[in-house]
Amino acid sequence: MSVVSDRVTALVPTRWWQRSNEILSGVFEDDRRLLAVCLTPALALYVLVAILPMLWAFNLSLYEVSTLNPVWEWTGPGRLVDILTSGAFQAAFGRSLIFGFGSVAFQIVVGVSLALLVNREFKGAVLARAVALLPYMVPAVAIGMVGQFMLNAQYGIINLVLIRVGILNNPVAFLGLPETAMATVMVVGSWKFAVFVTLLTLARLQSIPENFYEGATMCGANAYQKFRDVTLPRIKNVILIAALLRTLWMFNKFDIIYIMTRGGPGEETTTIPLHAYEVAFNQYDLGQAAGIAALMFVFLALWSIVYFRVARPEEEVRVA
Amino acid sequence: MSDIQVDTLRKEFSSDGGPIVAVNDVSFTVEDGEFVCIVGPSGCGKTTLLRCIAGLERPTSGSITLAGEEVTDIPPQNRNLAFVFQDITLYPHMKVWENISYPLKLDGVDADTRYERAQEVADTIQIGELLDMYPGDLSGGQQQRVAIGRSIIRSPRAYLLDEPMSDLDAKLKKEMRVELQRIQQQVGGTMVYVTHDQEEAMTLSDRMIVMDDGEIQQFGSPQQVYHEPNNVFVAQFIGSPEINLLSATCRDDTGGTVTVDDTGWNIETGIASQGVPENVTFGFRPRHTNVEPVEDLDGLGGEVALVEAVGDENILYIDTEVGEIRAVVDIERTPIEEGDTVAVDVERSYLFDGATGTTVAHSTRRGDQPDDQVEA
Amino acid sequence: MGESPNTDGSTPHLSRRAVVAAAGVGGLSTGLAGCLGLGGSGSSEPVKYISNNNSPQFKEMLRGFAEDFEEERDIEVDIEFTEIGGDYGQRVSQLIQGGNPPDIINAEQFRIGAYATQDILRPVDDVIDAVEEEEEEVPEKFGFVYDGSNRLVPAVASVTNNWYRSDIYDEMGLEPPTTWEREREAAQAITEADNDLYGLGYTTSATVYGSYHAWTRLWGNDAKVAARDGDTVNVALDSGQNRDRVREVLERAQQMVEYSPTATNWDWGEIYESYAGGTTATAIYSGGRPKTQSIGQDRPWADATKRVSNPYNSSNRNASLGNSAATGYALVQGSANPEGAKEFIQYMVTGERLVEYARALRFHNIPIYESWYEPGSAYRDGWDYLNDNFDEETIQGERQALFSDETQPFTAETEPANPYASPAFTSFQLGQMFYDVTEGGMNIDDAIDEAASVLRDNTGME
Repeated sequence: MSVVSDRVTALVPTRWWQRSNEILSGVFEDDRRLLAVCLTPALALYVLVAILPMLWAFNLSLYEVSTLNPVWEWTGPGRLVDILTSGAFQAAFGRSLIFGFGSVAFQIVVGVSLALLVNREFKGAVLARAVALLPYMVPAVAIGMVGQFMLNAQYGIINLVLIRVGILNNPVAFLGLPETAMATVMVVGSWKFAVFVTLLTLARLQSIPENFYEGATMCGANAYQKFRDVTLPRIKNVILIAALLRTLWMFNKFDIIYIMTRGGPGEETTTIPLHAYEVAFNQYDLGQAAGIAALMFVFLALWSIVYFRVARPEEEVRVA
Repeated sequence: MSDIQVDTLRKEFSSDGGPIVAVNDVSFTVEDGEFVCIVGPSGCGKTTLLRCIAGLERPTSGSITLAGEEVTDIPPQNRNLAFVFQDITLYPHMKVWENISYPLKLDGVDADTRYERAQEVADTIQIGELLDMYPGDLSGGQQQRVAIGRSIIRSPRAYLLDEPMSDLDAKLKKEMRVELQRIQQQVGGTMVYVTHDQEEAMTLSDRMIVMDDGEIQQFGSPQQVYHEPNNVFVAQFIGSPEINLLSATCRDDTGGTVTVDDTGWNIETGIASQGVPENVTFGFRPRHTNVEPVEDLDGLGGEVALVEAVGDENILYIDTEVGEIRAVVDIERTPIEEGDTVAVDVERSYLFDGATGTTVAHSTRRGDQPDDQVEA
Repeated sequence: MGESPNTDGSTPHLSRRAVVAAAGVGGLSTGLAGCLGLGGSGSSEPVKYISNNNSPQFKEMLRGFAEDFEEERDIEVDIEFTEIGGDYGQRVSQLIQGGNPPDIINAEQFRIGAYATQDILRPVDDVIDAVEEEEEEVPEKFGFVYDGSNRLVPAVASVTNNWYRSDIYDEMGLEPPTTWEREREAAQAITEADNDLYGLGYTTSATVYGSYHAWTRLWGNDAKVAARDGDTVNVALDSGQNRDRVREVLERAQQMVEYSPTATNWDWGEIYESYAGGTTATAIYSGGRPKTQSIGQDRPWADATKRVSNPYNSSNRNASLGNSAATGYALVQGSANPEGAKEFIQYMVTGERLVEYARALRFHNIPIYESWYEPGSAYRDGWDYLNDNFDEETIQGERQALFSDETQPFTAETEPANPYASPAFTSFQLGQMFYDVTEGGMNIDDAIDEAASVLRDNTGME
């Protein structure tokens, strides 16, 4: 007995080792198996963190579920129609469009400008680049809180400065007025992400050979024409990709709006995610909130498909 | 079209170790319609000089005049000069016709007209069928033609070319040289062409500028530069295989006979000059030799270490007491093999000042008129 | 409101007998059998308590309670604190949806209805009985009865205070802002004077404070949000004479915002900050924060910060003079150790623990036992903070307001209590209505209709 078991334990490691070696080399020699092995973890993770919650949300939206009660009651897909036709949803959707596209426009313009600025060679360019990218390290929560603090009409530094310089006569509650709240949230919520655009653009800009510009100069191009004919074609697809990603992210943006305005004043900044939050945690209607989330997913998916069809950002720009 | 006058042009770059003089008070004039090559080794300042003419570099001092108009302070895009870069700067996202007609686009010419003009130019440079392709689909030679096409489409005052063929292979280079000359004849125009390849410069130029260390060593026709070099540098840089140079002593100041240092060889130079210093460098081109196999060597010569066949010529590398010398011989007329001992007879001699390297005197080609004038 | 029969002048209280009498429901035996505090619990699971407190001071104190309790009773307590920036309601619902509900949650009177109407709260009558036995009777207004049973064990309460800068009022010869007329007059005078002060912070925001402020303002004109009709609770905002009163309040709001900084997005923080920071001279608040913050920030007007009740319209004096809001603990259905939880709650809301807890709240939230207000009580005796910063008039003024019939919880608009007051409150629709007619530029009647319709859609009210 003991002799036998000793033999077995002595043999198992070598056998196992040889066998696993054979399996491994088999995997590495077969492209399809290698592909499967490499893709499986990523796919599993994707299914786990993206697909399952989405399916769960779709499923949940078919039930009447109170946020505070684990009992689910079947209502069926009519719920989604109810949501689509509700005034609150439509209004929030409109605000999401304004916030999403407005923010992205801001981010692209500021981000690309910043990239063009810091791409130039000057004394301290490296430092300037580092400083320009710094905001990306700051958490959105901190930006929201600091932004709210700085914009406060009573003690905020921004009002103080604007009054000192003479631009304003009286403090303005930037986050409290219907005329300024949305724009303010867009700007505060965007400047950090403008840096994301800068990051992507800068990498591209630095790969443009200097003599492309000199060539254009010798052809008689001015600064704007050089930007249009040399710079822009090179960074176009990066901008398109950034625009897509940022639109998706800004549509889903919750934290910064919630922290700065809670969707207010009134409902001026209640975008879809805030609306969903209110439905879930103020009206305690989890089923409807899930329905809103599901519809938002559908919209964003459609938007992405249309975007890829029309803008074709995946088309690599010709570089040689 | 116009002439280009460069007057005491100076360009310094700052560096950690103080200013570096890239172009040192250079003056010259390129005549209207002339093809001038600027040739010199890497770092001699030739590209900087060209970029100053283009306006891509701002000179430290001096002036540049195009057809009588001072342009030193005019930005490059307003000088109406065409520039062809070493690494071909075609725009990859533009089709060939768009690349060629890009200068017209900047002038606000409409697309149809631009296409037509691009077609005309492309026909001139024989790439008419490539108009709708992208640069990425073209060969290196085709790309360079497109770049040239772009430079000629707007009839610039002059063409500036910065080593446009250095990235092409040897065969293509030869073709493009012919092509470029043809184009120049067709479109006319002043061309300034920078290259480090003396052979290219020799074949292309009406006149050539030989530069070294930020200064013009010589400005003259290829014939002048080859046969009447101003100094040791020009003699050495121009001509292939490279000129043979030996330290020598001149007993009388006519330069008629020199003694190669460390040997007893007295060589008749055929020079009858005056004021030749005692300490000279004796030079002769490998082509200006007669080589004979001998049993016993008495004088300039040695054992043939290597025979290199180039076409119907052989280049001989001969080990002598004072180092290697090179000679070019006709394969049929002078059958010489490695290991043979040969005597070298110099047909045409150069004497350079041993201290400064300046040309002191040179003999004439046999049968030519004596000519020891050296162009300043 | 004065709807509770209270003819003999004694305060109705929350003991089981009173509840049964008031609700008229019998046979509620749930939990009564468990002899509270007399034996160990039957479950070995630790008591799970999700606390909405995350300040280090409170964390330490509550953990201390749990440790002492564990030592004394041999029942383990596991306290989870909401992360900073996290949302309490979100965490609670996560646990409930996940099938792992906590035993104990924090609850306020104006929020508890949302939980109760989902039938997820256990009755706590037995806990209240035991607490009353140990301390004293808890006034009925601090409880929350749903489906015939108490669902909230109150610990402390707060009352509507209209805090004002008596230094400014005295200097300018203004009467304390007790009525609409005086309030408006003072607000205008202070705003127009050259003193960098606004009269008040008239909040018109869709926030928690915005809801609170709006509802309180409605009561200032005896306007109600809800009315009961048998088993149904109706939205009263838009009907009959009540609608006219609501309209009056909103008309007044349009006028009053002139004397206020823009307060369209204000929540609790902004209202007390603007007062303590010296921007506004008056602040309506549930509790003592405008004063305690002024004390904490060493403001010269800390001592001059006095209270009156919610300003009322003199021609409609029937109204309640503000809200009284108890806050305490509730038990969640389906949790693992309800008996242990009941014991722990009882432990926390009695004796020296409650004194320590109440003192830590710095007279912002105040005791629900009237005897504690007497000088020399265990709560007041030797408590320097209170003695140094609060005059007797303010202390007794708050006591009087809290325990009188003139303040009521928002749920008390109907009898029995309105369980939908809570979703109506957290829908922020009242604040939204105030916003709509001021900064939002909406017509008053449209705003009323809109608010009423949203309340009908999103609460259980008809």
